[in-house]
Amino acid sequence: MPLVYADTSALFAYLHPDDEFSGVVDAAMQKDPPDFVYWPFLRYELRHNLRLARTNSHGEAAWRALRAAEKTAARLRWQGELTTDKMVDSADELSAEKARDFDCGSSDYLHVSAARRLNLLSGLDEFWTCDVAQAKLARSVGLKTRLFELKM
Amino acid sequence: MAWGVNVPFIPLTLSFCETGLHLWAGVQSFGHPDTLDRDTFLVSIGPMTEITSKQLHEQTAAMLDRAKGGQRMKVIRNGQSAAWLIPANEEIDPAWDEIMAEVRKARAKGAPTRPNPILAERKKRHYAARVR
Repeated sequence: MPLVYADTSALFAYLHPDDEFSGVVDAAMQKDPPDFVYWPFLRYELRHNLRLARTNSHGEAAWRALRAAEKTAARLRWQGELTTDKMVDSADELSAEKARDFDCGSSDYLHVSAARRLNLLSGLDEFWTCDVAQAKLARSVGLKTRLFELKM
Repeated sequence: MAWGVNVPFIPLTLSFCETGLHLWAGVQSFGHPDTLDRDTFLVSIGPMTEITSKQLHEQTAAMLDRAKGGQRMKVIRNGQSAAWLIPANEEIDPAWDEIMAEVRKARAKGAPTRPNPILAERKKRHYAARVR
């Protein structure tokens, strides 16, 4: 089963049925079901946004799905190697290297540096995101990247 | 022989068994014990033992007694994991399709979509940075 680093934009879209990218991310997931990388920052960002989205039954469904997935760890693969302190240092190094060329936010650098580290350590099949700028950054560090775009 | 070590927030058990030292995390989430909010739960970590299919065959009653006593066992056949033997009162993890069933049902209704909040937040931050 492939191991994918789906950033929070992609994981949120997969879990929340009303998200604009929900359909395209789910289609990719159904085609070749991967395991997803999971680590403290990603967990925090995903949980935070899903908590904010718990305003209706669909938001509640998304939250329950996440909690069930965390409980079983069926697809969310906890990466003990990706600790926040290490990743912040790693993101800082990546920022020093790339910030002038890529108009990405601080959390984008965290995701890409975490994916890069994992790729170096044990291999990563793909990096998934719905963010154009982040996809460019991910490709620049050699990650095989899938950018989800809205069908017009 | 088995012995336990209690760590704050994480009930942790290390067990020595026939095949060496095992640390088994019930939900494979040792790294993220949940203690954050009312929706979260504590991850429990219990003993896990490997037994061979031959042992299971020859000592079925004893193995069932151990499982009844709360022990989870991984059955090894020809050097590879073949099955789990777990206490009957333990929940079996739901399948992924089951986890996502409610979400997929909601998605199938085709409700109006809304902007991805993570991208929206990033755009806001970029805008604020440019304004400054």
